[in-house]
Amino acid sequence: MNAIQHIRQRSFGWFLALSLVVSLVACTEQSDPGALVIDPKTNGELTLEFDNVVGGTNLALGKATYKNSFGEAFTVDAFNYFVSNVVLKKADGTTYNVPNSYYLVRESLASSQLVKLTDIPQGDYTGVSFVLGVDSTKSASPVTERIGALDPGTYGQAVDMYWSWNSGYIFVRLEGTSTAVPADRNGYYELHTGGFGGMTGKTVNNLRVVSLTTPTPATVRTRIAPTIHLLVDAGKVMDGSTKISLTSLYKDRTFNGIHSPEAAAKLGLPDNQQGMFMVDHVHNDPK
Amino acid sequence: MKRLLFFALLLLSIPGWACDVCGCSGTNFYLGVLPQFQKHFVGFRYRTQRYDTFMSRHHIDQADSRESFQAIDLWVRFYPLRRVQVLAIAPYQFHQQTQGNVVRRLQGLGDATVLVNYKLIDRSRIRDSAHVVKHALLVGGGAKLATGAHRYSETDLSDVANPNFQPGTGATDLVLNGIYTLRVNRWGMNVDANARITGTNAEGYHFGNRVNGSLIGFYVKQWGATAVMPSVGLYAEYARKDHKYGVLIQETGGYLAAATLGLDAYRGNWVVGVNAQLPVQQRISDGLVQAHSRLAIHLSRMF
Ligand SMILES: [Cu+2]
Repeated sequence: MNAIQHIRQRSFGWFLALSLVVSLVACTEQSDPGALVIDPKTNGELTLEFDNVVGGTNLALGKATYKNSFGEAFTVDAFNYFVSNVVLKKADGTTYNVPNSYYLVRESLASSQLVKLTDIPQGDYTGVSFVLGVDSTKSASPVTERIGALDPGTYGQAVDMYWSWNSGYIFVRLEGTSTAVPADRNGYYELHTGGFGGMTGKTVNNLRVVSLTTPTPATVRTRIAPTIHLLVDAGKVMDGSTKISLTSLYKDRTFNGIHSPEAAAKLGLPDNQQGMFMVDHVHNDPK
Repeated sequence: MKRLLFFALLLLSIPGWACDVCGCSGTNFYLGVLPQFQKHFVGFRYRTQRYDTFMSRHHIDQADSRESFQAIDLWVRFYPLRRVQVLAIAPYQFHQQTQGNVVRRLQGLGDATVLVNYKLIDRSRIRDSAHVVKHALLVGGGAKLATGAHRYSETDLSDVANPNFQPGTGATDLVLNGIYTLRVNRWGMNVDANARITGTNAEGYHFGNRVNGSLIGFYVKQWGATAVMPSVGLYAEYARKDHKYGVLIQETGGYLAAATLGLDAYRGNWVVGVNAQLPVQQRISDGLVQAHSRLAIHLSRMF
């Protein structure tokens, strides 16, 4: 073997060793630049994941016993809420209103907790906001226009989430058993919030806008379908800015739970429920 | 000294419905102390690995799961030329995932690996097993083939919809390795390093590149035709994160460092051995996956 060949072989060896080290040890691990290019002509997908919890633990319907700030034990037998008018906010401040966005999230229905938004312009989203409830215009629209999640008919999805023409939808429904509720009320508490302002008679407006920012951008791309993972703390219904005691609430023997816009507003439920939501993390997973 | 330890390691884990948490994944590959005799051999090895996957640390609404990976390997080594060694290993995999009361199982032929090593250094002076001075350096490479099945359904709930749970990775990988053995009388040491430059499979999935290595000390005790060899050492592996269609998958990759304990016995042309890896430090899949001890038992016949 002549000297030049020898050097060539050695440098090839070094080159191989070096490229190996670089490919293995380079400390930042990233997506390929090509996968991060924004294609303005193709829209993408983004999923909102509503992960219901109580404090730091997963919400287990009917099974687990939780405690509110007064130390009163309770279970959660139903936890449902409406999310509507979703707005996605890009890092540059521009927003995208998701058209016709009305969703009913139920703890009892896993599929309802994943809200998949399609046809979303590609970009980096750092914020999401939505209405907790069903907006006044939609609530007041003819029932034939309220389909899917908003169908209040006997076999409709919203059958247990609707009061009446004037009171409208139940925006948030929380109920369950509690030892703090006397036996003559079956030891069962009900905290139902609604009220869009009323149709024929004026009611209080209990609609609230929830605005959240994400800890890292959700990067919607041709090959990336992010999930914004939200934690929704049902415990905040009783333990928000207003602390609610079931014992004092149910001490009046005629009291049978919160079932009207005015009662919900008086108890401070709308503001408590506005504070239930937080973004825990974002997944920028490949499609 | 006759011995072979040849680990094809599988580091895996499981998905939930929203995010695919995966371990280092794919067939990882570990060469232990190799018998330096110029002999062919054929053998079987049984190996087992277990993992806990903590989906709930990440997704409060998801159940944790346990995964068990077992395999039976057929391995062969032969010398077509004096300084050229060919190693081949073909695994048959048994995978199981337990999530609450739900148990999912999968079995099948895994990914075979073929390596060709060249003896750069091979010096020895052997009288008997108590009077040996030798050192050997082998370097080489080869391929991990895509012989194992790699298909799953994202919609069929009885499937574990995770690339890591498949018997094969679906891709052909380039493998590079080096082995150095030093033996002075009854004592010896073995150093090896192994790297895998991974390919991309038909689903656009690219398992991260990975390396592993070990440093093992051993001792040989002989009675006539019978010898035993206890060994102790350190093992480490590191995997880069996976990509799909060029998109990084955050909950993949990671490292593991383990203490290794082994005991091999030789009689005539037969070798039987057991080897354990006890994790001492690890961070797999962003900490969502926890590896338990690994065990391997092998039986080989030399020719
Ligand atoms: Cu998540």
